[in-house]
Amino acid sequence: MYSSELIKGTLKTIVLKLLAENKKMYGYEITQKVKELTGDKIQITEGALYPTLHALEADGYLKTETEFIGKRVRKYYSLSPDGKTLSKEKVNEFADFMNTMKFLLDIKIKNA
Amino acid sequence: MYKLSDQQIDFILEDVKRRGIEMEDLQLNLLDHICCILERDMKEDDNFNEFYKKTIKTFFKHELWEIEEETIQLLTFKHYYAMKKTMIISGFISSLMIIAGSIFKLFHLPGTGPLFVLGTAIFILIFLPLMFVLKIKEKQKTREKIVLLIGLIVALLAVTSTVFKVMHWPMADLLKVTSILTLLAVFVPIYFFTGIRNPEMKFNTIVTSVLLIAGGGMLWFMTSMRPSVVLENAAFSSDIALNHTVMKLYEVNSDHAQELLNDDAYRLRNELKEFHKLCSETYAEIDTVKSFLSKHYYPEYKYGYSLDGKNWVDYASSSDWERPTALLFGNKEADISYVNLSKRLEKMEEHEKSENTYFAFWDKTLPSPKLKKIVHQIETLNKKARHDFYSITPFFGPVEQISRAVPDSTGEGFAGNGDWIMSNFYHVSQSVVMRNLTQLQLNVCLIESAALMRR
Repeated sequence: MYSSELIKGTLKTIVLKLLAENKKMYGYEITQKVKELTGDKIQITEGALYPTLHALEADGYLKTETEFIGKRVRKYYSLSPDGKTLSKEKVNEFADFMNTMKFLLDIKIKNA
Repeated sequence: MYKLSDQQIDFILEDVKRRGIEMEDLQLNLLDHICCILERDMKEDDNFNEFYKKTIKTFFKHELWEIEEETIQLLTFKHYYAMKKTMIISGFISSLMIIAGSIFKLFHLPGTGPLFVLGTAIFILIFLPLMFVLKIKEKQKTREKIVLLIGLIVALLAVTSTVFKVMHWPMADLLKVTSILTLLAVFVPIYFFTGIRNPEMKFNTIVTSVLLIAGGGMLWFMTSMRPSVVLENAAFSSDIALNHTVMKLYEVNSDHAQELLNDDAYRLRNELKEFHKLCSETYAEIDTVKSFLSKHYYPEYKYGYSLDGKNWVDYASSSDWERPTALLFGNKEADISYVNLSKRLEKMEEHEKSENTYFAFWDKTLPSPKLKKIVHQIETLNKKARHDFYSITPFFGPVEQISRAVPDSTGEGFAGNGDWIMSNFYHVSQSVVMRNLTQLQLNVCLIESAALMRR
């Protein structure tokens, strides 16, 4: 498990990248997917995920569609054209950030 | 896999609402999420209530509504940039308009008023509130927020009072005094004692406080400053001189009229009698207005006046230019004088039908907006006289020139005949109002003497 500060700064990038690869997803699915992909190392909390999803939707980066599952409603999120652009930007920005951090903190990556 | 019943789903939704989640979108998202977890992890023989309580606790640190709070904060943060942009643009536009307005005013171009009012309106209604909202987010302590709030109030008051002053709207001075007092007595002390506690801010706080006190003090001086003593005395002296001339002319007219009335052979005797009576009454009526005004200002002031080595302003307290305006246009007592004057003029309207040629000379320079209608009637009379009897143009030349030489009430141009009343009696200092009333008496005398000469 990483500290919540580290995750908070990258949550947007994670969500956008996941949606870019998976067409449409709902909240619970996103948390499970991240858990699965990272081998439980990154666990997104609901308290961080939903505010981010709502903000991205309000900014027009995400589209939503709802599906009725019995008595409850499931909200699926997918990327808008703007969201697709932002997803690429965010991933590139983060890659650049990693390089800078590697240099700054003088990290030797063993299997690089 | 466990299957939740409809009742259990309703229960969860109600619980989410009860825990303070108000956004419907978020309620549904959380409901689905909780249901997913429960259906995945719960076994048939687990207790729903206990399992639910355990699960919901993993959603938050202290309370569930933290999620909603975080959402709202992220959503408003989105507006932050839009607000900042609007603030900068509105600030830019309003300052441009105010600067343009002041340049227009300098060159007497039309549009000064609208530019200035619109510019300051944008400043007060958009720029300042936005700046306040953005700034208050940066402040952590309640005390600093209070300082900012009082600062906003002072700024709003100061700008509003300036607009009122420039536009000659009522209550301008009251607003100005309130804004300066709030600045000096409330804002500066609170600002000073808040800032001085912080060692890093100490020096800056002292410097800014001193600047604020100096600036506010200077504004205070300007507010209580009276109109130029020299100018007031000049207007007063001019009134004295004019009044002497008018009184002489009045005497000459009376003698002349009496002479004609005593002449049995004079054809228009009855008409002249009526005309002379009306001229004298109007003359006296204006005198009533003059003494009404002077009574309200300085009981010692009498006709045939003398300054006795004193300044006019010592008598007149003429710093308040709104007072004669209020007395003349907004006061019930003042109306008594003006009602009399308008009655006199209504009488003249009746004479329109009587074809008394003497009334043709009446001028349209009458001291109340109420009389505008009558002014129009007199205009008709004048036209009739011009056509039927005399050429009266020479006598109206000077009067029109006088009215044109005075700026109109908006300060943007010179008054034509229509604005004569406004420009001579509205927002003008006491001594000038008095002088202009004497001018009216002179007009009455001129008209009478013109008629007498052309009998």
